[in-house]
Formats: sequence, C-alpha cells, structure tokens
Amino acid sequence: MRSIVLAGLRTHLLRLVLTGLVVVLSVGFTAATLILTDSLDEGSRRELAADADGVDLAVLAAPDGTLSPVEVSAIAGVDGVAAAAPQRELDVHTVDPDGRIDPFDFARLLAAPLDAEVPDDGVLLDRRSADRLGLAAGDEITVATADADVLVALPIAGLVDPSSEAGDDPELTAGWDVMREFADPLGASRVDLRLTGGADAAAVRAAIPGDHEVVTGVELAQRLIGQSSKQEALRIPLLMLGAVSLIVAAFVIANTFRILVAQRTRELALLRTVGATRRQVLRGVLAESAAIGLAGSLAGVGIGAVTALVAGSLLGESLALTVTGTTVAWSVVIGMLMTVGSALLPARAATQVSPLAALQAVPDGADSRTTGRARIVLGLLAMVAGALVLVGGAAAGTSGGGAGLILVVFGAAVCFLGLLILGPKVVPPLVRVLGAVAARLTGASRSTAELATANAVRNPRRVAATTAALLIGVTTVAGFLTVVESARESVRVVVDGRVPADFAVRTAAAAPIPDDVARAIEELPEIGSVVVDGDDLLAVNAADGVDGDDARAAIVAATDDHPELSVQSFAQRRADFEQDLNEAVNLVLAILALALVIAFIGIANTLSLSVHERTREIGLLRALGLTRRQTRLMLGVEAALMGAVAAVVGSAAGALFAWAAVVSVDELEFVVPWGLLALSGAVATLLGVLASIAPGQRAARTSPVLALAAE
Amino acid sequence: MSLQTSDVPGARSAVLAPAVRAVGLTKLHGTGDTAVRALDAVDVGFAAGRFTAIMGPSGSGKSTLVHCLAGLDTATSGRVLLGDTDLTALNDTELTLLRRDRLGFVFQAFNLLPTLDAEANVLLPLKLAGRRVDRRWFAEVVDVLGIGDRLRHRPSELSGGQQQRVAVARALINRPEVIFADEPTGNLDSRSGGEVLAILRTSVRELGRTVVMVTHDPVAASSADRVVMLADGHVAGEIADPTPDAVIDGLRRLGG
Repeated sequence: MRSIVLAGLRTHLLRLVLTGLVVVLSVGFTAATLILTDSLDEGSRRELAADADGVDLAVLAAPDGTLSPVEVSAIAGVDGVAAAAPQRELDVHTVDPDGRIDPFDFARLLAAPLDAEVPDDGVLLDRRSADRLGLAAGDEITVATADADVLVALPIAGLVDPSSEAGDDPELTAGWDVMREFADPLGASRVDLRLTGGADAAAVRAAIPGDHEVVTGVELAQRLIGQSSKQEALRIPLLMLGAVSLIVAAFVIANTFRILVAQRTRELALLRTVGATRRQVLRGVLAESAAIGLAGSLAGVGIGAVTALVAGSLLGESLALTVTGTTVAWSVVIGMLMTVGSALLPARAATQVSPLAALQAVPDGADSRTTGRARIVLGLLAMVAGALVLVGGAAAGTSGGGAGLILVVFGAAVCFLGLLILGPKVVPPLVRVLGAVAARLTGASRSTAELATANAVRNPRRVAATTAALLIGVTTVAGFLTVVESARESVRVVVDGRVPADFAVRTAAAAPIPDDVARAIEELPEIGSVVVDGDDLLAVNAADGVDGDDARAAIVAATDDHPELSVQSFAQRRADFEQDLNEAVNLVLAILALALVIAFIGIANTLSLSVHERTREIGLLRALGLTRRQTRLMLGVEAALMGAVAAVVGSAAGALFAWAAVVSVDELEFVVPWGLLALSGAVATLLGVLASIAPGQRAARTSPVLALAAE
Repeated sequence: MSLQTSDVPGARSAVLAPAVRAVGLTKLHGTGDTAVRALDAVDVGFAAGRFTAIMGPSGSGKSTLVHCLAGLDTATSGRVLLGDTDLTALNDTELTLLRRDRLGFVFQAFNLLPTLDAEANVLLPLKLAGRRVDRRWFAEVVDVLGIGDRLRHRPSELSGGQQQRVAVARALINRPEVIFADEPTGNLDSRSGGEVLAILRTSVRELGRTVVMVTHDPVAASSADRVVMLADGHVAGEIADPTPDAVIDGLRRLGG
C-alpha cells in the first residue's frame, strides 16, 4: 500500500502543493509565535542568570518589606563578605523637553548590581531611551521622585543595554548613594554578597544577623527566572490571532480534501476492484494526508523560526533563537490534525461507494445530497441560542454586569458556528441574489455571469465551505475594525477632556495646583480662558487667533518655576494616542491578513480543482462559442460572488458582534465604520477575483476538442 | 416562417455548392520522429443542404477531420473553407465566434451543461452571443424535436435520447451553416439512435440544414445522403445514397 500512497502523492503533488502551503502558513504563524516568545524568555533567563553571576550569597527581604539601612550595613559587615550590593528598584520621573514632569510618564531607577562600575554621582541610562531622548554619555538627565518633590540633575556616566523588563520606560542605574537622594531612608529588597576568597559560605550564612532568607547565587538566578514576567502578554494574544488563521486553514484544507477525494472516487474504486480492501484504501488516503500534514508542519516550523528572527530584529532584540521540542510537537500535532482530520470523513465516504457505481459516475462537481434536516435544526438552534446569549450579554453589560463581555464573545462564537452550519442552505441563495445583480451589471456578458452563478451554486457544500473560510476572516476583520473605531471614538471623547480645551496643565505633585498659577496663566495675553478642573488639572484655551505653539510656549514660560506642572496640547495628545492605536491596529490587521491570504488560497484551490473537474464542460462551452475572455470572466464572476457573499455576511456579522461587545462595555460608544467595512468587503471581493486569475487562465486554455473526446 | 428552405437558396438544387471543404488539409499529431500524420493532404467538400456521413476505421483520421472542419482544432497545413471564410486564417477568438454564430455541434456524450435546464441549454449559443431569441423559430425547433414538455428539466432528469434531442435543438437554434455531429448515436440504444438520426435527416430535408456526421455505425451512416470513407488520413472513397449493405461492403474493402 505504501508504494500506492507514494505514487498517489507524486501524481497529485501539484494539487496538494496549495494544501501544503496552507498548512505551512497557518502552522508557521503559530510556530513563529511560540519560537519568538520562547526566545525572548530564553533571552531574559540568560540575562537574569548573568545578573546573579558572581553573587555568592543573597539576603532577601520579606516579600512585602525591605531591609533597613541598619540591617544592610550589618549584613555588609559580616566577616568573609568582600562586597555587598543592596538592591532596590524605585519609580521615578525623568523630565520632558520642557523640563517638566509628566505625571503619566515613569522611569525605573535601579540600584547598581554587585561589582558594577557606576560613578558615585552619576547614572547609567539605557541605550534605547538615550536614543529617543537625544542624550549621550556626559549629558545630564534630570530625575525626579514619583511625587515630583525632589529633582536632581545627574550626569550620564554611560549607556547600557535595556533589560528585558524595561518596556518603553527609561531605565536608570545608579549607586546606592544616588538612589538615596530619591528615598531616604532607603531600604533594600535584597543584598547581593561576594565573599572573600576562602571564606566559608555556611559560616557567613550563619553569621548574617536577623531572620532573613539567604540563598546562593544559583538559587537566586532560579528565583529571578521564576519571578520574571514571561512573554505571556505577547504570546496569548498572538496565539489567539493565530487561531483565526488555523480555523480558516482547517476549512480550506477540509474543503480541498473533500474535493480531491470526490474527484478520485473512480481511482479509489479501481483500487477496490483490483483487490484493495476498504480499510487499505482508507488507510492509503489518510497516510497521504498525514504526509502532507507532517511535511507542511515541519516546513511551518522552519518558516516560523525565520519569521521569529525577523520579528525579533524588528523589535530591536538580538534573539536567542529557541526552538523547543514542545513547539515542534505542537506544530506537528496541529498540522496533522488539520490534514488527517479533514481527510477522514471524505475518505470514509469515498470508500463506502460501491466500486462499480463509482467507476460509472462522471464527476461534474454536482452534489445531489440534500442538506439534512438535522443540520438545519442544529444550525438554527445554534444561531438563535447564540444570538440570545449575545443580546443577553450586551444587556447585562449596560446594567453594570461584569460578565457581559464574556457572554457576548461566547454568544457570538455559537451564533457564528450556527451560521457556518447553515452555510450550505444560506450561501447559495445569497450567491444567486448577488449573481442576479452581477448579471445586470455585466450587461453584454449577462449570460456569462449567469453561467458563473449556476457554477458557483451547483455544490452547496463546496461553495459554503469555500466562502466560510473567507467569511471567518472578513467577520474577524470587520468585528475588530468596528470595535477599534468605537474605541477610538470613545477615547476621543475621553482624551478631549471633561472640559473641552486646547491645553491641559497637570501636576505630578500630590499638592493641588496653586491658585496663583491658574491666575498667572489666565492673565497671559495669549490665553483666552482657564478652567480649574479638580486639584490636578487646568483646562486652558488659547485666545482667538493665537498660534497653538505660541500659546503653549507662553504657558510654559509662565510656570517656569513649577517643574511639577506639565503642559500638554490636546491635539498633540490625540495625535500621540492615534499613532499608538494605529500601530497596534495595523499589527493586528497584518496578522489577520494572514487568515485572508489563506482563504484566498482556498478559493484559488477550489476553483482550480473545479476547473480540472469541469474540463469537458468548459471544452463544450468553448466549442459552443464561449470566448477565452468570457471563460476567464466566468471564473472571475464565480470567485467574485463567493468573495462578495463573504464580504456582505462577514461585515454584517462582524459589525453585529462588535455592537454587542461595545454595548457590553459601559464606557464605549458604538460606531459603525461604514467606510472601513466597505473597504474590507471590497478587499474580500477583490481577493476572490484575484484568486480566479490562474484557474481562469487554465480554463481559457481548455481545448474544445476535450468535450468531444469519448470517455 | 415556414419549414421550407427559403434561407438556403438552392439547397436542394442539382448543382450543390460546398458549405464547407478541406483543401490539402494535413494534420500532424506530435513532432519529430513520433509525429503521426492524422490527415494527409485531404481534399473533400461537403455540399450545402445535404447530410454527409464520414466513416472509417479507428485511427483513420475521421474525428481529426471533423475537428479541423469545425474550427475546434487547428490544421498543420492546408485550408478549411466555410463558405468564403478560411478557418485556418482565424485566431482563437475569431474561431470561437465563428463556431458560436455559424456552426452547430452534437457530440457523442456530455452535450449539455448540467447546471442549466433544457431550454437554457438550447438557447446557450444565442445567450453567449448576447443575441435576441427568435421565439417562433425556437417553438418550431422544439416542436420538430418533440422536447416541448421537457424544457424545464435538467440534463440529469432526461434520458440519453432526450438529451441528444436537446443537443440537436441547440445545434439548430442559431441557424448554423453546418451542423457537425460526432458519433451522435454512439451512446444511445438503437431506438433512441434511430430517432436522433431521423431528426438530423429532418433538419436537412425540412429545415434546410447541412449536416456532417462522424459515425462508425453502417446503419447510422446509411441515413445520410452520402458517405465519405477515410483511411490512414486519406479519403478512400465515397458512396452516394448509401444502404447499410453498401456501407458495410465499403468498409470491408477498406479493411482488405
């Protein structure tokens, strides 16, 4: 049987390439996510291990407490201790280019590690922040306490690589004395010790006063690694986005196998007539799909590793590329499940046809099976139940319930599943309606559009499954865009402030903004009005006709001796917010685009298999006078119809689900982004048309003689 | 419109102008040493308003000849003339439009689109051309072929004979200059086959069409006005007003 499987793979290789590609792409993304996050984790593990390197013993403070300065000196004074480095992390601010402190921007001030060379009066700054702030070694940086009470200008003694915990905030490293300028008395969260040569660790440990936990350097490294924030915050959203591609891929693969096996029913029947048992044939088909799954998954891991490296360099990390056995195992399991699972049912169906009947049948892609009543009932039930939960969740949200959003998500999933189950009943009528519209639009080529419509709906399951893949992608994109635009609109309301104004003057200090400051600002000729909004905010409007930058400069000048007051333009703030949001949105859209690409391959695959299956029919049409142009148009319209149905239904479903999600969150206002929905719909339709190009070319080249050829 | 032959003047006259003819038609399959000479400088004409059968053993080139005459396949050299039009000088689109507007086809099997009902299949060439349907002509054709009660049926709901009648109706609908039939009775039982042949004859006698039919069945061939015998890519003879026995004799001579 193995030789037959191999021969089958060889023969159908070309047709299987696209299926394999789908496996590679979908598994590749998941693998890339796992590899990237594992590699980042590995990087921070190495870094933390390096931190603990050279530490012989570490004295730890109680989880919520610190070691007092007295305790620290006592520990440092123990016999056998060569060097002691108290550790602590403080939240501080660095000043903005105005010399002011933005209450929302923080920096981390870290105590110098054991044996680090930090000058007594200077700080080390991370390179990333130095680049951003335009600072270099030798410059000064002004650092303030969290309450903006103490400001100290410190020389930058050098630049260091940011730690893996750094995030976007600046990271400063300073000696203990400098640290104490920002908190006095300053307790240590930990004291790292280096022992003198020949000192007995056990003796030192015993000599450390107080009831503190003492660990070795190795134990410290393990503990730090255990506490380090793993890349779950990155991994989980990425995996969820990747799941969309996996689901789309599963649909595409299942559909492809269904068509492939249907087309090979005669071949399989021939195997049966010459003596292969049903089991052997079934096993053969499954082995074939397993081979594709395995090959695709392994290639996916490779692509994933490359993608992770590229993503790492985009993030500015030199990645410690880590491909774990778990990653490979998951990738292969996912890939194989998709292919073997997809092949199982059609292979069973194909082997259950009597060999003689199968040999006599001419495959034309038609599906005479009616949609089962059970399927309709199940689909309707799921849709109605899902919709009820969805609306219930939305309603619960508005009345203040916390579980509203979860209910909405669950309801949307069930409702959508119902829609997919009903696909074979729902999609063909929609294709017919849009086909009639298309026929009207195409004018002279009306009959071609009508043929395309008839072709599209001839197999309800196939058109439903092909459309479903794209539908999932469009629904996700439409839902995401609607939620984002609603959030954008809602946040715009928040950002613009409780009191609409041009500028916000905020204080980073605990004390309220002094009244005389408000008055001073109000008296400026550049300023129209000042509204005191609580203790911590002045809403300032420029006078009519005054340039925004001039007004801002005037406010800054007027508050010259108040470094704790930051002056922000709402327009600037809005622009910053929009930029951050757009970056995030574009990243998510780029990832979701993968699902659309996979759905695109699905349409191209279905069409190309359909063309193969309808060779004689296309030959007949060509003989009867269908020109090559009309042939391409026929395939193009067929694909466009599938794309358009997915676009219309997906946009509607996505907007509906997004509506429920938005309504369930009190702070958000629902907005329908008509333009973006239209754009995503147009892209889906266009993807369909593009998918038809290659199959259309092949169909157009079909020789009419084929139609005359006897079986 | 009547069932007379008004639109093909002289169709029944004694001097028969060829509706379609091959001049020095040569067709090679493959290239180099493996090339097979399917047609070797064939000269043959098919009179307008007549029913001609082409016969010959397997590999004689009869199918290739019809494919080339019908503009379905391109010749290696020589010419095919449909009226005054040289088919060998046309590009693919021109050939396609010529097939659509000036020729009719009946194939052995798979004549109809499974997605369309009988009426839509009959009207397909007109629809593809974007032309108006002459309802009276359609009614006449449907009436002659006896498929009036089957128009709403899909091909899968029709018997083989009914399918072939729908195919003949389609071949007639655009009033083609020539109808090419490739083994039109090959897949039918003898009764249905006889009916289809009778309809083709009616198309010639009463509707004034020109029919060129490839067949391997001597009885089917004897329905024609004339039989052209092909062997090894050459015209090997012809029989006027054939009978089954005469055709069988002719074939036997080709074999011997």
